[in-house]
Amino acid sequence: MYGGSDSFTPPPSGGGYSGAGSYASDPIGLTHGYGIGQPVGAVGGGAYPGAGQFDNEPPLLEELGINFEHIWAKTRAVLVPTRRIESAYLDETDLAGPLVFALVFGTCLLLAGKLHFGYIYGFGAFGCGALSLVLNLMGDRPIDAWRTTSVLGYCLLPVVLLSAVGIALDLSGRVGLALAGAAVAWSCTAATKLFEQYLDMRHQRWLIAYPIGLLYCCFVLMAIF
Amino acid sequence: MLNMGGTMAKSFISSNMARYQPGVSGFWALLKHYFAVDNAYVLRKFKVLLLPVLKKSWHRVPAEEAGAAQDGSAQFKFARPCVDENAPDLYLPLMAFITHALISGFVKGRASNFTPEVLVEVTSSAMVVQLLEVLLVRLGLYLLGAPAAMLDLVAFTGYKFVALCINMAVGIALGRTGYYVALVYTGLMTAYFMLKTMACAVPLGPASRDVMIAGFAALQFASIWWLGDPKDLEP
Repeated sequence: MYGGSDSFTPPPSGGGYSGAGSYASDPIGLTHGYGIGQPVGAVGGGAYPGAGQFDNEPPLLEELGINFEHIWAKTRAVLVPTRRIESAYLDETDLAGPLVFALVFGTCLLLAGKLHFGYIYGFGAFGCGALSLVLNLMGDRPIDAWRTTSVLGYCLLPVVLLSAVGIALDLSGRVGLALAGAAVAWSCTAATKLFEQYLDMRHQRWLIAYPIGLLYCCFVLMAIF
Repeated sequence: MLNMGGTMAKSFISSNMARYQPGVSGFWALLKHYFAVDNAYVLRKFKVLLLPVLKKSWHRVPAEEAGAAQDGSAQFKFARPCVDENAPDLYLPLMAFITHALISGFVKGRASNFTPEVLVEVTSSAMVVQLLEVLLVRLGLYLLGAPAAMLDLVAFTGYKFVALCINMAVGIALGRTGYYVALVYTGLMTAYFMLKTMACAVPLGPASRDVMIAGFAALQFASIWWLGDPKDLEP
């Protein structure tokens, strides 16, 4: 899956000039990524002294912690908020997916004529921080800020879809308001389900749903007006 | 024997510390006290804030089980909000504060006046007014020589944001005249709530006590009037 050892071919010992040639075109092994081509180790193995440490390096995406399978699975879980989600997914504090969603949101707003990247970052950071504070204060089980940011970022997807619709349609009328309400409800439901499962706070469901709803209302206001 | 007690105490403290954010243990426990709410409490509090005239008893329940409190210190003199409807909480004022900012943003948006800067402006002006009001009430209580827990004051004065949200919501539905009707009603109810709460919290004393408490109530009404912004509502 991650270009593992079964596809690893050790470089010929004493690779000499052939090793140096490939090193010149690709000095940091960028092309040897996730599931593509040979492992990084093939570049510098034996070509020059001290290059042995490249032999055992994992592919770049694995080292960065970006796992497309998990990202897609979590996105699916947001699109269709079912009763339970794999707890393994909740244990990862993956911020790559949320970052992509936030950038796509900003780009859709840009295409609709609004330059709000700074506000997205500001309200997002403030809102996620404040919400993680509230969840820690209200719950019995502690949750760290990165995990809340990750969950909230994934559940931003319906708002991103709303902003995509807003490129073509003017959302400040009644139709826009109805779509905005639906987007907030959808995001809020998904995020609340994830949090209540992780924190075991089912009896306080409405109390955590409300601040999550407020956060998404903030983003939706930027999208519709 | 002493060693056993010491190790037991250490393990008890460390098992509780594990639940706190690092470094702010005493304050964190205090803050958690104000967020110990449940659905029933929130609904009852709404009823108290909107119809305080129907309420008979304003006394707070003392905390009988001192052992249940995190560190059993004097800061937990009264019971938590989930068991006592007269206890102040910080959940409702905080949520109402943010809701007020968002509703103001929404009203401005409907009048095609919205930029995200609006949310920032409303939040910061509301925070300044709130801070000022808390300091004034604190000063008043200091002059009376009465005990005052700061977070209690923040909570009691913070309930006006519920009134502000309701005023704005009525203004959206029924126009500017509806807003003003709601303003008068919720202003009076919130002032009455503050009057009754302070009357219970401040011990009896000279005549200036009654004047000061009436002053706190009037301050609530004034700040609700000041913070509300009906300019962008349709008349």
